[in-house]
Amino acid sequence: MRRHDLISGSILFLIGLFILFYAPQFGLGSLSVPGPGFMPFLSGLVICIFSVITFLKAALSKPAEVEKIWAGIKFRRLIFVILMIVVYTLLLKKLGFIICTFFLILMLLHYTGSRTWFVSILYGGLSAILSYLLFEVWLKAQLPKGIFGF
Amino acid sequence: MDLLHSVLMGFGVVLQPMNLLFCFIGVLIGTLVGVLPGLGPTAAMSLLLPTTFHMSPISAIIMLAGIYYGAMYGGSTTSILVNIPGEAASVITCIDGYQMARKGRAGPALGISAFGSFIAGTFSIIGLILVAPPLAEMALKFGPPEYFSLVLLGLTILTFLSSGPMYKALLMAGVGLFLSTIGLDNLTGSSRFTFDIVALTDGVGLVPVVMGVFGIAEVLSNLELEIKQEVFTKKVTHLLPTLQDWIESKWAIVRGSIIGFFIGILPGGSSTLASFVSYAVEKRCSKTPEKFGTGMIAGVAGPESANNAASGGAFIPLLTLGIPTGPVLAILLGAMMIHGVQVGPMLIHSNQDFFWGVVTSMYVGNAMLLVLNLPLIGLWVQVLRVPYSILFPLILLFCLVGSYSLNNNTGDMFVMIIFGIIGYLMRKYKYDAPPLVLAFVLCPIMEQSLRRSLLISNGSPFIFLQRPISAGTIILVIFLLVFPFIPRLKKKREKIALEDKD
Repeated sequence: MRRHDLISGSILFLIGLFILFYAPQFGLGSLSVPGPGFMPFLSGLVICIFSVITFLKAALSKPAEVEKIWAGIKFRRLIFVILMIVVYTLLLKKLGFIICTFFLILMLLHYTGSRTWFVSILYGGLSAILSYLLFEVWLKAQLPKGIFGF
Repeated sequence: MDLLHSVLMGFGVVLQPMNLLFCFIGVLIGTLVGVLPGLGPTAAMSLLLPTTFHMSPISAIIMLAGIYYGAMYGGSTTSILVNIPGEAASVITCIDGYQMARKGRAGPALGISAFGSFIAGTFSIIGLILVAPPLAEMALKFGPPEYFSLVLLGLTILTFLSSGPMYKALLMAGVGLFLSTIGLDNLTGSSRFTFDIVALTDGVGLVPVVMGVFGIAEVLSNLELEIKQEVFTKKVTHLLPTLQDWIESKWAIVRGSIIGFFIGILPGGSSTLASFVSYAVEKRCSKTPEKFGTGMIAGVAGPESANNAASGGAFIPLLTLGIPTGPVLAILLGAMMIHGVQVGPMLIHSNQDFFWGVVTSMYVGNAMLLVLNLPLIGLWVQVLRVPYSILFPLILLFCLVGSYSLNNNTGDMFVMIIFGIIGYLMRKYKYDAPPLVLAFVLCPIMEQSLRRSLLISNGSPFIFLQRPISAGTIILVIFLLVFPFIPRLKKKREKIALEDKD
């Protein structure tokens, strides 16, 4: 984990540093009357201290073989899935729950689950209708209707 | 016989048809979640939280609690039949459970885990009934300094017990603390770290964070693996353990129940940890330790009892102090607050119906689970045949709908997706999620009690050392923090610090 700890330790240290500089703006107060910025400041301190320890522990350890945490990852699949849920979130209010859900399940099943078009369309339709009945009708969840009104 | 009266009142609440129904739905979903690998009780409870908004507080908590202990039952099924843990607390059951299944003894393995879980569940509920009222009584005397020290102790124990190095766990706790401070300050009402983003004025929600870190992140990391679910046994028979099985596992169940109960009470002492400790103890107590790993029934009975007992014990700090001991309990606390239930030591007096209703519902739920898991085992075996490629789009959909319906806006969905990616990176770079989530939940209690204590003491931090309970707790915290830096003791911690994902 050596190299990975060096990377993650540095990033977290920068985040901690940012918090330490930003927190006093909200008012640190004094020890007898701590202000709103007090706790964020403390958390920034905790982050800085332990990210430095993480970094140093890694830097001082013997350079072993780099563990390949990114090997064997299907990046395309990963990014495709993240993209799909982001698009779903963006379009949910515009197109409505049923249409979005149908396409989400369809795309995920066909491209990531490598099902045939027929199966994907079938499951997409089924999940859209059943989840609509479950959430909207039974649990009264007020899902977005979208421009088509359903 | 005040206690008996209260317990009977509790049963009166649970046995109302609506509560009974939601208890059943809870344990049913719990078993399902337990059986399915890749979806744990934490994610399931958070994504179903919005669905409880239209229920009464009692029904809601009864259902959510049912998911929690129901998952403990379901998890063993997958471990035994497929050699994949259905959820983290059943990891250890794979070892001897799967070996038993290979020898054609899947039935007794499943049977003993269900019976063991039931016995342990009963034990921990009786423990809860006996311990909670006096503890709540004591907690009434706690002021801000005591609360601050206790919360600090809880966080420290969790980081101490987490897998991997303790400094990384503490680092994650720091991140959790920070995330929690985003939004309005409770004491003054001024906004912090919102950067004029409207979605951030109310702060970052617990549910989107938990769903992201435990739900979405789990799906994303599972995309890399091809989960092969091959059910070993086609037909499960002889579910009732023989007399010999009972003789071999009776002490394992007793020990598992006691170990689990006490580990459950500890902050950070999860069901997972309880099952690991129980397995180690069984191996040590056994006359034939070398046979562990080849299908010893005690290696199934002990851990399965322990994880269920731990889930009961964990309710004690939650219901008496209002302090959650892990992510699952944090969700329950969040649910209670959303439903306007006043948490803390007053709960047992001010809301007797709720307290005793929830406690006794766990007993009713355990009885339901025994029925669900033994005669209906065939049904769960069928569920196991659903391939992950069909399952994961549905898990994603449930997470998306769950986060949307929290406030009927898409902002929470984005927060969830972002934390999904963060959670995924955390898994890759080997950072534990539970310290982050627990720190996130405990931060408001911690901040308020810290600031109030300092107000009381006029700025002297020694207030935490001047009061006996608080002082004792702080000393324990310091000991735990220094512990890993003493090389001889460090090795011991590494022995007990175990993999704990859920």
